[in-house]
Formats: sequence, C-alpha cells, structure tokens
Amino acid sequence: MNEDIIVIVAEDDDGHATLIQKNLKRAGIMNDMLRFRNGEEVLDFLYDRKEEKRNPELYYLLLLDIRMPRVDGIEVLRQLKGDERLKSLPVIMLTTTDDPVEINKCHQLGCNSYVVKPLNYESFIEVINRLGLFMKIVKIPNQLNEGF
Amino acid sequence: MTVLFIAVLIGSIALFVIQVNFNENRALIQIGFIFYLVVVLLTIMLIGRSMVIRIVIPLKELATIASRVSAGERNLRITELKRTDELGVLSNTFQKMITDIDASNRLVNDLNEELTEKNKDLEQIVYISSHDLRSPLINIQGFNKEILNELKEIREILDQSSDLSEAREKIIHLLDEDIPEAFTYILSSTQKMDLLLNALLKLSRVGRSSLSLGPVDMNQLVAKIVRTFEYQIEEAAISIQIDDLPSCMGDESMIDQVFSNFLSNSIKHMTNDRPGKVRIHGYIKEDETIYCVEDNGIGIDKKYQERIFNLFEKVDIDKAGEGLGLTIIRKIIEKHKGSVWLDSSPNKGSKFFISIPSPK
Repeated sequence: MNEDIIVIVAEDDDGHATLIQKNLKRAGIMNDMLRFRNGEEVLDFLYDRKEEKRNPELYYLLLLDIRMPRVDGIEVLRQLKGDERLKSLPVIMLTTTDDPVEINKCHQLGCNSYVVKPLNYESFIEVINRLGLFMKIVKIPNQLNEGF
Repeated sequence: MTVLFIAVLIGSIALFVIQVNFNENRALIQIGFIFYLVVVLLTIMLIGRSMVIRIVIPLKELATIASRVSAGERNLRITELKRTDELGVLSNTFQKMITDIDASNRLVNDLNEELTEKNKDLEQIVYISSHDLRSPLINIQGFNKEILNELKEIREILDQSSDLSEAREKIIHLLDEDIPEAFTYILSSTQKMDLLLNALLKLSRVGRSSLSLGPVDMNQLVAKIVRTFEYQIEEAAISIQIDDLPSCMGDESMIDQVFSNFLSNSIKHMTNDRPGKVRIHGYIKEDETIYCVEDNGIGIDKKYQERIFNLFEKVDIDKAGEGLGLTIIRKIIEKHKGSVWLDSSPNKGSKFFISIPSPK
C-alpha cells in the first residue's frame, strides 16, 4: 500500500490493537500506524487539538472500534462525517457484533466499510488494500488536509 | 314538606266540611277552593324541588363522573351522600369502584414501569454480551492463532536455514517475545472475562433481591462504612467530614453498598494538586430524604456525565475497577424508587446526590 498512507487504529483493547498490527505486517502492509485508545483521543488528533500534529503531506486511513470509553466509535464517525473538512477520510468500522441495526447506523453515517471481529484477516486486508488503492487513485488527501 | 302535606290534608278536610255545612255560602267555598289549589300547587313544586335536590342532582353527578372515569380520568371523588337509601348505596358503591379502579391502575403502572426497567436491563445485557464479553474471546482466539503461526514459523526457520546462528536469533525472539506475549494476552483475557461475568452476576443479584425496608440510622451506618475505608483514607491523607445525617427508610445493606461505592469512587478519584476532602451530608426535603457525597477530586466533564452510570463505563480509563460501582448505585436507588444525580466540574470535584422517598 502507498507508503504515504498512515493507518490510524482507534481501539481501546490492547490485545485487539496488537492483533491488527501484527496481521497487517504479516500481510505486508508496512505503513506507519498510529494507535489511539478512545474516541476522544482520535478526535483530538484529527482536529489537531493534540501536541502530536497531523502531517499535511500524508494520507490517513482510520480503523475505528465502536465500543470505546469516553467517546464511542459511532460518535467519532458522526462527527467526522458531519465535518466538511474531514468527511473524505476513509473509515473502516471494527466491531464485535453483526447486529444489523448497528451496521445500518454506521452505513447511514457514512462509514466506508464495516468489519466484524474476530477479523477474517484475509478479507480485512483486502478491504484495507482496496481503500488504500482508492485513496491513491483519486488523490483525495490534499483536500482533506486543507483548512486545518 | 311534611307541614305542607298536613296543610293540604287539613285544607281537604276543611273544604269537605265547608261543602257539607255551608252549602249555600258559595263565595266562601270559592275562596277555600282557591286557597286549596295554591297549597296543592306549592306542595307539588316543593316536592319536585326536593326530588331534584335529592335524586336528579346526585344522579347527574354520578353520570358525569362515570363518563369521566370511562374517558380515563383518575382520582375522582363523588360528593358523599350521607344517606342509607338506594341512591346513597349506589353512590358509595360507585365511589368504592372508582377507588378500586385507581388502585389497580396504579398497580398496572408500577408493574409497567418495572417491566420497562427490566427491558432496559435486558437490552444492556445484550449490548454487553455482544461487545464487552466478546472482546476477550476475540483476543483468546486471535492470540491462539498467533501462537500457531509462530510455531509454524519456527518450524520453517529450522527447515530452511542452513546458518543455525541466524536461525537461533529469530527463534529466540519468537520464543522470548512473541509467544509469551500471546500467552499473556490469553491469560489476561480469561481474567477479564471472569471479572465481567462476576460483575454481571453481582448486578443481577442486586436486581433480583427483594428490598427489606426498615428505618436506617444513617449516622451509624456511614460511620461504620468510613471505618472500613480507614486504611485507604489514611493512605491518601483524605480528611472526611460527616454532618449529622437524617435517617431514612431503606434496605440497610443496600444503602451500605451505595455509600461504600460513592466513598470508594471519591477516594479513587482524588487529585495530587490538593489535599483530598470528602463531605457527606443530608437533609429532608418535602417527602424525600436527600444525601450528598461531595469530594474535591478530579471531577467529571459534562460530556461524560450521562454515560458514567452505564454498565462497564469508565471515564478514567487508567483507574482500577470494571465500571460497575455507579451502575449498582443506580440500580439500588431505582429499587428504592428514588433518584441519583450529580453536580460535577473537572478539576474541582464531584457532588453525587441520592434521594430516597420518605414512607407515606
């Protein structure tokens, strides 16, 4: 996948985050990863409220867990997709349930993909690669980074 | 009425006597007759009026009340008729019927409320089963696969490498780092699962147990609770102020749990910026008793305040505990038909309030 893409992992469970990172590496996705432990941290980062600033030269892809403390994934998705400047950021929802109500809610809010844990890493990596490719082809990111 | 009736009777007799004795005196007869008619008319009018007062008005009221009851109005009262006749009996029976309907309606409402609560609990359990309980299982499954992968990797390294010293380094890394890490995650996930299941059981026990209500001497109870926290209080150098507390009607062991959870939370969420203070006070307001546990700890941001009573919800992610204490408090207070709320601001502290209805 394009090396300019940073994979953001918003996941409160250390085990789940480690498994995701290990499996992405195993599949040859060597992109840098950023880990956040709850919705609030990831929003602070995306809205540049953190010391650690986003790099405007780079593209970001968000893997977003739903059940997180403080601010959950659905709320993060709602805020991102409701924000003109951030809504083109690709978001893959990660969750432990295939509850159709929840899936629908995420799709309505505009998530790009929805995957159920335990992850079938083959299809998960395919989703990531596809989104990565998509990001490269349509070159969204520079608009994404404007105006922050 | 009776007087008039007698007057009519006397009039009739008089008329008859006059007719018999003074047959020729027609003028007198005519006057007598007119007088008689007036008295009869007056009697009829008064009888009618009395019937309206005694029968029609109460019947009208009954009809109005009946239609209001059937339209769903509650807590209606009929003007009490202190009479033993049929209408009195009807009116009293009707009032009793209304009171009975009201009572059974209240019962249905209470049961409905309980059912709604239970439904909410059930929804929460489903949510938790599909998220929190599955989470450790995903780790167990995932890291088991990791271990299998890593063992396979070791086998491949051994099979393929001719240079054993290079192979050795890779294998040692897998054996010393990756595989133990995976086992550590598996172990901590089983512990987490155990913790969550225990928490769920604890909560369901609170939900199922029936209240054994009695007068609770809060001064005594709170003093006892503070003694059990003596070690932590001393350790964290917290000063505790307990005001004179009003008693309440409650389940003592449950109220004990409520205040223990509050105190434990306060102690856990102190800040290093200032010496810790906790104050417990209470007062009676109208038909309820209100208590407050106040601290000068880290406080809770407004945006989290709604979520903190949810099961397994932790705002302070780094603190110990499974996010159960406030959920149990809410459950207990709900069982007492009271309410719980908070007033908190970050870096200043929190005030947690509970209200318990006074016995009626």
